[in-house]
Amino acid sequence: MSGDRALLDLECRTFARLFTRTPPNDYLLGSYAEAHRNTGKFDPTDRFDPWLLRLARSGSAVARLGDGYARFFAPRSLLRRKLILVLSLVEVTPPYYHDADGTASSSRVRIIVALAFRGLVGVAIAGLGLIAFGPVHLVVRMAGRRP
Amino acid sequence: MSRRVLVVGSGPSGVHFALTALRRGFEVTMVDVGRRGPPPVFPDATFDQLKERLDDPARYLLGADLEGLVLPTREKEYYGFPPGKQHVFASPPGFDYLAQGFEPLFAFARGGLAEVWTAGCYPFNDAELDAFPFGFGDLSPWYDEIADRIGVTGEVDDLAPFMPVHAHLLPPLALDPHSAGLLEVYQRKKSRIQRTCGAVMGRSRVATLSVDRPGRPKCGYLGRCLWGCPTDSLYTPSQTFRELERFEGFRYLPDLEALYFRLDPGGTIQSIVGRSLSTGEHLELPVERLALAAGTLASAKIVLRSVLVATGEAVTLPGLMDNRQALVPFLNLRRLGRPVPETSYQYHLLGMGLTSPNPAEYIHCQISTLKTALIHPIVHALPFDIRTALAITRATRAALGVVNVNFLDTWREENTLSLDLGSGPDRPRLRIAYRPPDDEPVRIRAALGRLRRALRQLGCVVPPGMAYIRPMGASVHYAGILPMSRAPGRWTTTPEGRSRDFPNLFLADGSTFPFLPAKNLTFTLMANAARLAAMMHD
Repeated sequence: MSGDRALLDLECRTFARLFTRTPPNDYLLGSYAEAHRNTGKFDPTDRFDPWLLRLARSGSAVARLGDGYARFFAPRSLLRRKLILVLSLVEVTPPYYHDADGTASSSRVRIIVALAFRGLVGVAIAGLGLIAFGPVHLVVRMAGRRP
Repeated sequence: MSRRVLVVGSGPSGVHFALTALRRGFEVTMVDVGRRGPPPVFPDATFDQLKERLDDPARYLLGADLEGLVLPTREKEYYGFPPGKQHVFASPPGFDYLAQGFEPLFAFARGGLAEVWTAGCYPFNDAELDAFPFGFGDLSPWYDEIADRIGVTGEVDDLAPFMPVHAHLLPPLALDPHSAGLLEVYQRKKSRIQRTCGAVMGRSRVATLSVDRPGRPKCGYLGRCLWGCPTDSLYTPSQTFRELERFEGFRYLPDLEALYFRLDPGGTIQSIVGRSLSTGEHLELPVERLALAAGTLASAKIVLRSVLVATGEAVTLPGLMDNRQALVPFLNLRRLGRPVPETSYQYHLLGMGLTSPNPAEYIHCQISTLKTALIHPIVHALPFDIRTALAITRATRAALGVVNVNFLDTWREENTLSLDLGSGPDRPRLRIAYRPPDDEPVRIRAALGRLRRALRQLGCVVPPGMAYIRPMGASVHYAGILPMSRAPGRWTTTPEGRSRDFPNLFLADGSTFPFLPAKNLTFTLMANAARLAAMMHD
């Protein structure tokens, strides 16, 4: 296994954990790696991109935190693009797709309470992400502007 | 003159023009790029079954080059373009254009752009045809004819005053529970919705079969419309093309890009020059009558280049039109926590009309509830990290939908097509310049405000910041440029679609429309093309 492939497998395993409890099978890992071979859609666009991605590889909790930050402050970042790729693969691949495109059937009140809770969690993740990644992002951007 | 006609383009206008001409004894030669897509796979499988049965579902649903993957951009598109339909927009080598204020799409597929349409069939009424040199009564028999040819389902309901009822209307498709719920609330509250929002609602009219016809079964509700109906229940022009092939007098020349026509000294078209895409060679075909049905942009380019070749004149044609579209996602609170059906028709089943004191200013909206679809474009559009957004999408999925709002366009001098000769006179590029009318933002804001209020009455909310105004050109409802008129004038066509500049040229596509109502024009394109072919007989 090449170093690149090992890294891609690590990313796929880490990110897939955010969307499905089942570890990725060979097909999912292979499709994820293949996606990087065929397109330029997963090239970094600035110096913050590889830094954020490197941290996100360290665990799904860090990846989620980084994503919460990137949603608002780097929406087209490499980490987000890779997370969306994994989600898109999960939603078309058996046996995972029900984890992504299934519905949560319940009473309306329960759903509304759950939505409110999820929303608060989302806001908290974005806030924590801002504290964790905001200063570095700012420094990288300012360094990039220097002549 | 003998009864021969050369048709450029195999889209909705081209095939129905050709079919009418063939039935009336003409010999038809059709010239076309004619790219074709892959054959359908597992035609009996539902969307989920497809994922299970395909060896490589990611390749089929997302594409070898991830064409169906929707990554974050400034544009909020909620559907990825299906990889199996990429051939529709695959341009020939060397094809290029310049565009300002307009994001055009060009089709090069057999069947044209309607190979990827959502099958909405909306006749224009008298008010919408006011700028045309004929009225609904003249077009009505041709709406009937096209409805019979392609199979249109629908119902005579509150939308009927805004969409004239034609013959051969098949029973409507089965509603999914979400659409049924919306219609049920509308029926209870409609007097209030009509009074306070000026909105009416009813069933979509769609060219998708609800009953079996020879060679085309009724819709199986497989949830695969977007990837291409595997049973041909949803009409596409390539179905009519297959009918053309059964005529002895039909000749098809695919793989040929029509470039320009040549004139004799009297200004009559004597031949058309095309480029073979396989060999790169230029071919010249004799012409007795020429019918351009390549779509507004491509037909205009052929006319512009022909004039350039014949006279050296660089003409600018004014009047390009397109329907501005807005996508308005909504959440139906009554549907929270309900299941989503595994099998369903994927496209719009309901329509909403925003009425106006001036009936020509009616605005048509298509309401699609979320059923089978790839959800990653929705998930990453939500203002949360993706895991949170996925959980929210799962919880709200049965309650989600999107309204596609169409806005009318008018013929205006400033919206032009011309040729750019920067790459040399042998390689002219189409130059498109479009500027929306000054009052557009006000009109859009007012219409979306009324739509939001109507949705609220139906128990739905529009999440803030999620509505999206699509760029001009995205609807692919192009029209204008060589308008039909009663009064003679340069760069106009007669009510019979005959060019006033070239006596044996017929314009059979949207390029002759002098007005573009706020509804899909494809059904009218087909009806008008059939009408013109019938009149060519005389």
